[in-house]
Amino acid sequence: MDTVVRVSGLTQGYGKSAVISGLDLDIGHGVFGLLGPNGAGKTTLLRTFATITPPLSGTIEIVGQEVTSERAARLVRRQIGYLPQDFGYHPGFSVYEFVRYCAWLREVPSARVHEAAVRVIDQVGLSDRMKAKMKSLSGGMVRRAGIAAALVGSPRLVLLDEPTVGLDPAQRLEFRKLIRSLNNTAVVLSTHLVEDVAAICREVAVMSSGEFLFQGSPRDLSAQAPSGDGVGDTPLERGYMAVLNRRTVGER
Amino acid sequence: MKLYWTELRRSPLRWWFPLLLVLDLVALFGRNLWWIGEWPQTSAQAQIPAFYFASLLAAAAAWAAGRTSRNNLDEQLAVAARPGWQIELAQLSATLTYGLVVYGVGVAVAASVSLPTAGPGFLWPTYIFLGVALLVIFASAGHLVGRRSRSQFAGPVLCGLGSLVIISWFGAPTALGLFAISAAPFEQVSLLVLVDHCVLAFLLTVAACLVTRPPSSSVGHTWAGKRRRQLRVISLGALVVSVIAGMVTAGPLQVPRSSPRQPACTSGGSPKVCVWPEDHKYLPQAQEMQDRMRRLPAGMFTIPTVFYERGLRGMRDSYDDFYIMDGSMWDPSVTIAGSIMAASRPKGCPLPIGPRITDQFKQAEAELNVWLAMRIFGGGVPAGMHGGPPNVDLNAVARVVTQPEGAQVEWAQQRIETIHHAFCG
Repeated sequence: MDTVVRVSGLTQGYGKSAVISGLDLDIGHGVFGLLGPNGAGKTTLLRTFATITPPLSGTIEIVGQEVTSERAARLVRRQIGYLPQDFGYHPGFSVYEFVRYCAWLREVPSARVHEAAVRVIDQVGLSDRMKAKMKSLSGGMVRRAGIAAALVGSPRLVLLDEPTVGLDPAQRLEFRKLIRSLNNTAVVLSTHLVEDVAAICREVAVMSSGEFLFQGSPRDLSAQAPSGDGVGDTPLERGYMAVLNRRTVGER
Repeated sequence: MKLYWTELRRSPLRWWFPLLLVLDLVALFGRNLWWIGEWPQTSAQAQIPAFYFASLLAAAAAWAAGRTSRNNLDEQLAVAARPGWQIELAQLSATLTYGLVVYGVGVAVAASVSLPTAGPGFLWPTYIFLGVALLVIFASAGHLVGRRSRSQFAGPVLCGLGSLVIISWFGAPTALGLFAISAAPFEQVSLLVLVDHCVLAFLLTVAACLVTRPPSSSVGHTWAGKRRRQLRVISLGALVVSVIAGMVTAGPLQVPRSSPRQPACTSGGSPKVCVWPEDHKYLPQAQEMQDRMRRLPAGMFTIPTVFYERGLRGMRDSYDDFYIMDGSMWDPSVTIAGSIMAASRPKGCPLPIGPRITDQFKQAEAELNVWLAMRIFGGGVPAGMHGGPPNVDLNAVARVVTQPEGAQVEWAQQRIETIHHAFCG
């Protein structure tokens, strides 16, 4: 497996309080799902992978580069596509301008920007709305434009924080198809939706209170479900809930 | 470059552009028109709109810079590979472009209306740069404030009004010298002060591009480190404060200019009236004044052979030299009348002192001075001119000037005798 993200002994948090402590993790090509309740530390971890916040301690390597400074972070950011959960845009931008702006931010070579922007806009199914203002789009379309912005320039690491929120079922299917089609790319997907994980993730981690309670394939997570009736409608949901409940029981 | 064009297209100032142009022309032509045809005054006048635009640009820059946070883009900018200063500079440049283009149009219009009648030379770039520096200083300050404010209105209003107050209260030529009100040819912008302004503009631009908001208010630490960020802010702040201190101590905005080799003088012998070559357009009026001096009653006055505009003989001891104020020859007429009065004092008698300086003497001298000024000026006083020396009724003297020559001579002779009595007893 080609390692795209490697963290060791990662401690991360705000001020002096640690949200994540002593995490070791390697992420290679394919889709890596992060499941966990609110406040589990998923977004904090994604922001760390995005090199927005430096680790409080431990090391982080992105596409083979250890990130130890702002300068090193800027270099690897060319390879990172990031879609925050609550991402922003200038309402007056057209879809094309927004994607091109994000390409510019990522320093995609100017000769490639137009072609790259058009391609990802096509991939998310917004070709016919390319010139439409962002403010005129529906919530689902805005989200798709955001995904296009994260994918423009073919970054090697794509970080998606709750990307399917606001998408209707058909759009979610399209999204899954799109993510599956990404080759030579590591995708880290933070989500609440277990079915997204089941559909597209090669590997999944369940996070709670900044710790990984589980790491393995979706099939292995399903296998965590207790025999008989557990909480949840699908094997994966039951496995996920079982992992979380074990932690809760352990805490008691 | 592409982002610059994008920022330009989405700048709020694109809607305000026509209004700014109108404001520019109103500021240019609304105050007065006597600057037309005289390069230093044209240059100062062309710089005046910057006084108004600086506040507007500060507000616009604050509004534009605040959009990043208002539109929730901080997180995406934080993960940008592109250095933050490029992102900020593109935005600030777009705002500045609108301000500078409008300002440039005003400068071009001012130059084009002056060109047909102006003397030698062209626009004085120092005054134009003074306006540019003013615009850059306040646009950068506005950007700096706007980038740290999420409010759509508080930042821009604070910047707009704050800038107006700062420029009006502290920007006068005698204080920080942020702008010039007028520009006589005998003075020029101090290069030291101008360089100070340019350095301040540069530093504030650097600060606007470098001292940006941290990626998110929830983030407690960044790669740069809190201490390094604070150090950066403190160093830039210290530099800005020291440059402002430099501006305060750099002396006056306008300093004397060296005299020209060849002043522009009236023709036709003595007495000559000489002005700066830049004031060439006043020569016809000066020629008329010369002719009127020649028509003064013979033998009553001693008229110096040459009258100089201030600065032509250097600025020392230039009290006898006239100054063309607001494009009117009234002040030169008063100054020239004073010089004639001084030259015509009784020879061989001491200056009157103590009880010999009677009210009668003072009034006679003042009335005669005003009468002479009115004769030289061409009768009467300029419109809007009120008051005059103490106890002198300008209208009464103006009526004297309209009387037949004989009556005027008799009136003047009475006052000359009073003066002579005070001098020689």
